[in-house]
Amino acid sequence: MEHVQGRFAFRLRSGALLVALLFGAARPSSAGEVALPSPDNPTQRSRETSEIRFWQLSLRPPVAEALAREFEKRNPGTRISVETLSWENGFEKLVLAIASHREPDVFELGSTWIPSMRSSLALAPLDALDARVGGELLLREPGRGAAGTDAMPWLLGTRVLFVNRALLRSAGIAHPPRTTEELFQACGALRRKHPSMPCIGLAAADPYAPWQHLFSFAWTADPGFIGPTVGVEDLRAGALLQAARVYERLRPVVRADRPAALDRDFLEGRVAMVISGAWLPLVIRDSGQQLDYEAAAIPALPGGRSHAFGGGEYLVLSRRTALRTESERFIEFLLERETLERVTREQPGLLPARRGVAAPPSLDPRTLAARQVMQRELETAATPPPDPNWAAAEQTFSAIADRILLRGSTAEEALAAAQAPLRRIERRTASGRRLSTRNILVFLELGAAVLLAVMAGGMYARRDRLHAAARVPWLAFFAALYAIPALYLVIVSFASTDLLAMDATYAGLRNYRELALDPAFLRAIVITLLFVIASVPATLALALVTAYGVRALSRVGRVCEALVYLPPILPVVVTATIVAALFAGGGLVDSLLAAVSLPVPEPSWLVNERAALAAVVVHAVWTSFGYYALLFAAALAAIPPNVREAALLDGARPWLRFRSIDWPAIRPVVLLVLLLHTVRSLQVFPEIVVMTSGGPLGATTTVVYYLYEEAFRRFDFGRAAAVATLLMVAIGLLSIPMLMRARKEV
Amino acid sequence: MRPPHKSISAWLTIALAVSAVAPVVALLSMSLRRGASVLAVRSFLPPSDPSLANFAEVLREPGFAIALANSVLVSAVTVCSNLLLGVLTAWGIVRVSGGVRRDVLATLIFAIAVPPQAVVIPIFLIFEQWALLDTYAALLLPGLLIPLNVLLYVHAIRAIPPSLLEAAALDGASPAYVLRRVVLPLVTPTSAVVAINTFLASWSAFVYPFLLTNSSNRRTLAVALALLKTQDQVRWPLVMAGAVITIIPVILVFLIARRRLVDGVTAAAVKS
Repeated sequence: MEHVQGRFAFRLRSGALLVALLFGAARPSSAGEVALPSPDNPTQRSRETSEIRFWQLSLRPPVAEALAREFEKRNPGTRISVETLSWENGFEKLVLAIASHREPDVFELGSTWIPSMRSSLALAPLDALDARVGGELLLREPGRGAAGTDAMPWLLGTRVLFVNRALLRSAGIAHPPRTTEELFQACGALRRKHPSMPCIGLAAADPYAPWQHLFSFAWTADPGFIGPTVGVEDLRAGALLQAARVYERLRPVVRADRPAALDRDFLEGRVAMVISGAWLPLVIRDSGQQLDYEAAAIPALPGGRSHAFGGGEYLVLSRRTALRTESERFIEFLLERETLERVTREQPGLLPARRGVAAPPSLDPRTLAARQVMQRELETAATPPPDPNWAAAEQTFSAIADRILLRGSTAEEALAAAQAPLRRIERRTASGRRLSTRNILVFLELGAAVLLAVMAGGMYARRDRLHAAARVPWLAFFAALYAIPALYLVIVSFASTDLLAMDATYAGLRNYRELALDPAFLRAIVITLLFVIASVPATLALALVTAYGVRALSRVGRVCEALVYLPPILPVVVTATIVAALFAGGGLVDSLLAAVSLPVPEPSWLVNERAALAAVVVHAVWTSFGYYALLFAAALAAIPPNVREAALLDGARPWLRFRSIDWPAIRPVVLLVLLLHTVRSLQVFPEIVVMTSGGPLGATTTVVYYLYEEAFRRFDFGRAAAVATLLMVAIGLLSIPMLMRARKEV
Repeated sequence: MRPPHKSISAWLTIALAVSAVAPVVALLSMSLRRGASVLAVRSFLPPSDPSLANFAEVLREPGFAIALANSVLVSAVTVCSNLLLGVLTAWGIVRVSGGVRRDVLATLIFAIAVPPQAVVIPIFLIFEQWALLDTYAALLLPGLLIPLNVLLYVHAIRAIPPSLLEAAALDGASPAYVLRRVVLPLVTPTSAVVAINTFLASWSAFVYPFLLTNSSNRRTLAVALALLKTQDQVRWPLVMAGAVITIIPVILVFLIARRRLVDGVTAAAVKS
């Protein structure tokens, strides 16, 4: 005991010494930091080069580069460095850049995000530019805040009704329905002619798209039905109720699915009408199908007129930019008529925000006509409210459509169900002691450095210096990439933190209390556990069977081993897209089920609250068993052949052979894989993004998906960190038995 | 004569292999198609007029060559470092007793437990703080030593009969000699798994390379592939062709490592 204490005292002393040393070393460098060029300090930025950083998502990289070079030619002395962000994680990257004050000078921002960025004071005013060119731009409203214009519309999006003219004509309908009454009549006529064919495709089971379709109907009755904030007084009145009733009445003839599936069905003539966007005409053109279709305004409610959904991509200027004039000039250049004509020539699926931009010359008449309808609709389109909470409310409004179309709720029920979540979405006002998030990191890094140094010092006292040295690289990695970030999350979980502004205020257990009371979070836990229970045993069983099968098959087995290893190595985006296509309504899975007279789920798999998780589980098992089979095969291969032969000669029965020879050899690997795969299943994420976006109605929202939404859609970093902390604790508890075993087996 | 349980597992394996390869065939046929921008069951069937134009177009994408070179570099470095540091760390863990071993094992498991979707935020902030954003260090550091690989090596080293190591030690071999001449050959199958593992992880890594670098000459293949998806239309045939290009090296590495796996087993059998 004394020995231990003495040792501890030694460590303490050396630790104190190291802290003093580190502080001594840190001080000059932190003083020096002030002089370093910092994005916060515009004057420090190098002025000779004048490099404008521009992040964008819409343009294909070569198009964006060509525009940048053109601007450079016209403005000598200014350089543009373009980065194209992918649609997958582009927004996260932007958020992280803003959080660390490293955002580009000019960037593209979806209209949904402008209010949150505005409230976090990330955007610079653009009033002068607006005064110069604003008059010719469409949809300026989302770019205007209380303090003036801070976002310029650039490339827009809208939703219109696409009709299959051949199908409509076959039912005796001459033109696309202009009112909802005509829509009901058209659907009735179609039903009589084609009894099993759905009449109209409406988006569902996607947290971000269905409201666009629902609102497109509601806006025809009252373009201002939703005020500047999302806190609607009573949803069960007015335009939204009327639109919800249209949905309820259409339900028997609706094809409700995720937008991509609807486009596909329309293309293949399996649905007569669909609400979609500017990409659909090009998809139809490129498919080579001779589809006789037409675009038209969304049918208006009685007494109303069409006001389509209007949104899109805006150009904004960072509040921290050092190159304000140059950047403004660049935005102006991007909004010039010639620039936009060049853009749409290359990418005719994009709709420019400027009036009078000539249509791309190469388009066929049909695509061109559809485009003109969309350009016209943009003139009167309504935009979502400028509420910083809009991104969070979007999901609640989408759930109204989902409840009616997928769950069979009445319009009133669906609207009533949306009321409570909307009330919960109130701006979380922060109060209390402010924490500097930056200091937390420095503090943790110092702590880790001290610990590592102490351990390195302790090595000298040991006999097995080499073995101790062998552990150091890992421990350094562990500190930098796992321990510090994890502890950082734990600390942040006790604060209320806006990810965009990165200001934290101490909030005690508030994040945890709110989580415990949030039904959506509790449901996410249940869904995650269901996913683990369904996928882990199946994966392990298949992996073990495959490992044995591969051995039994010798040469064919080697081929099989390589084949089952294919799904794990494909990019998740690709595998998830393939599996989603297989599970789509009328896809291969449905055909197989029908072939063996098994029931086909209704609504289809990915939009079915009971079946969607099963599809995700199938994807998870399919993309992982081959990998674990490889691990099992390696463990089995490590058994010396003579041991096996001896057992065979002794005449041991298969089960006995498995239990006494194979099992002891593979048990550690099986346990490792069990732990590893359980942990990975608890963290399931990318396939859910691709396959279901957490829907329908939250049926595939797992804990990590919930975490992701809290962080990157609601910017509630504190709450996301609390979820992460709980998840780490849960996984830690899970691995205790494994650790106990490791200790025993010393 | 094959015992029945063996043939069941054999048939199941063949069925699973077919199910695993069918979508990949679909992927291939899609990548040989022109036009089709929508993923339909139809587009999974072999195309009537197969063309390699998608592959040519992907390879012509600006920056694709740099991305390929970056991916090769990053994968090579991370595979080497994982093999080297992995076996070294595992050796250091196995050769201590009780408390320390358990603690270090706990760090490994904890590292696997940290949810990557949450940890990207602090990791980004750390890289920003150390001015490592948009450097090769940002591409390399996150994968230099993957905890799972260390765990695999720990298991492999633990399975080595202690008598073998003791005999070597009695012969007067230094620990370094034992590690190089006794341990390394015996863990070859695990090294093959680690190599495959690491190559796959670094070759397909997307989130960190994407978030931690900006300029186009720091792009890796997975990031370049993601950029093929744009807003106006997802060009699936191109994406699929890109996916085929990215998995070919993985299959090659798998086939090469598979041989090492077998060789290692034979070597181990001869030794014991």
